[in-house]
Amino acid sequence: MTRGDIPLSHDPSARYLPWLLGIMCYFAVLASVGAVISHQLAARWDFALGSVVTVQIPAAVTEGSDAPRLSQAERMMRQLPGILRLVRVDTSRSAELLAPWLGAELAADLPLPRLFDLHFAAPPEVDLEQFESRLGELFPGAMVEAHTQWMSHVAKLTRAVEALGLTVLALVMGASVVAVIFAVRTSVSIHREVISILHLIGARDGYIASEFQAHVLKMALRGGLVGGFLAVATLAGVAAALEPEAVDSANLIPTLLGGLPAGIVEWVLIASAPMLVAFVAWIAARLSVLGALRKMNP
Amino acid sequence: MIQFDKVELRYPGSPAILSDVNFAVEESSFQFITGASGAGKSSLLKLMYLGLKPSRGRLSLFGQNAATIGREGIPALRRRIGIVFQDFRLIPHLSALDNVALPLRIAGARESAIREYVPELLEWVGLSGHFDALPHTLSGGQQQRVAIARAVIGRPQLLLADEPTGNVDDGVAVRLLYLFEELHKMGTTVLIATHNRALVERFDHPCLNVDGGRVTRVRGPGSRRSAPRPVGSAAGAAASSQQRRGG
Repeated sequence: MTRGDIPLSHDPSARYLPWLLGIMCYFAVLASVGAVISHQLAARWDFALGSVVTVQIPAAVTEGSDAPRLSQAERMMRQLPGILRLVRVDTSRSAELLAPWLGAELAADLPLPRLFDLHFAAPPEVDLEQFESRLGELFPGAMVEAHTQWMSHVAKLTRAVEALGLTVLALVMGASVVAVIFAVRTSVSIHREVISILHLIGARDGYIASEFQAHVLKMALRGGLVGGFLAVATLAGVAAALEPEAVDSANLIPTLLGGLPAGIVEWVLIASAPMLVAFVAWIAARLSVLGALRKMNP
Repeated sequence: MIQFDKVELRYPGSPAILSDVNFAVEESSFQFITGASGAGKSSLLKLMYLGLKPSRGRLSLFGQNAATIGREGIPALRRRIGIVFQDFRLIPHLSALDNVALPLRIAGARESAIREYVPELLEWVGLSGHFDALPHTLSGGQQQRVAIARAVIGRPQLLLADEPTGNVDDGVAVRLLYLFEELHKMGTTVLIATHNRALVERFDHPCLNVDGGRVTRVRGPGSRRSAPRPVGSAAGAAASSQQRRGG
């Protein structure tokens, strides 16, 4: 039914529903992006930090006095299963990091511990406590830190943000459904006479519902595409407003707007938010019209 | 085709509009229903297209008990019926052509067939210059002819017409009656409700009278011969279109 047997384009809902669905779509895209960013960050940090172990060896009493023991400790570290590389953090770099708090002179004079970053292909499966005790035999007070405790807090936070994004998405969908149901029921009421004529000529409820569905789908897609476009524009604006370094270190926006780091699946999910809103609106329209028609005499 | 058996129609708390109605409409018959305004002619027709259901008694349509026809079964039944409403019931925002095309579109006819047959029928009912006219721009008589064209375009098995000549002059009324006769000759069962006794007298068809809620037969079939004249090919075209669609 493409000729418009029912004049739905003149309804009040034809004026406000595209805007309403556009706004819904705007929030749906932002919520989707939030959820996807959180999901990706959780995975990325889980991999980046979960697969790095930091070993801290107390400072030597005099420079080079414990060189043979240190070499033995490095050998032990290199022999750990799954290790990719071992990076010794320069002591001067540690002093630089402390300088803002302690002052450059004091930081340079302090006996700083030797730090090693052990990079693994995946989160290490070795018994780090046992490794720490073995190191402790060489260097009493040596520490092995796997970042897992800190990671669990970050993971909780990102999962909470992800859940919030999905909740907002669900609420947006629910609000869209309510708006469509209200608009469709109003339209059915307005066009009761035309619907009655169609029934008398032999139109099935499905034939009549298909006209409402097509009308709602058209409005939802129109609003959805505008809302989706504005949401992407908003994200682009946020990305542009952030300092490049901040963006780079946070690794948030470029992950999505740069496109490449994010998976194609995530992009498809984000792009499908307007389609999802339109599809939900389409289904809601059909069920709502059929429900309203059942209350009318055929 | 239609069988009324002790049918009664009443609205809750009101006296019966129709009571103890007993008659049959044979397939391929042509009958008039006469009676004064408000006698119940329209209600009788409404029962026949399931716009109302009997309060009592048994009504059989196309061999089915009306009481057992569910909501899902009604559209298919109505596609076998063409209805000319007293108040036309045209869809206001659709052109004359689109109003007439509605039954074909609802039945899923091809647009090419619609473009071929609908204008031909509109020309035959004298609306050749009004294809794109909206109903409110047409006179009462023109709207009535659009309504009649819409009712017959799908070549229904049963044609129910409620005062189909009420808004046209006598010449057009007779011409429209010949269109109904043409459909009747092709096998359509025709029932025309009218208070125009002169028109009924002009044609030799059985006649039912509705008076005081009761239906009586006042003239049987073959009581007088009519002399129908040839009336063009529009109805034939509608029939051919239906046959080509497999309808």
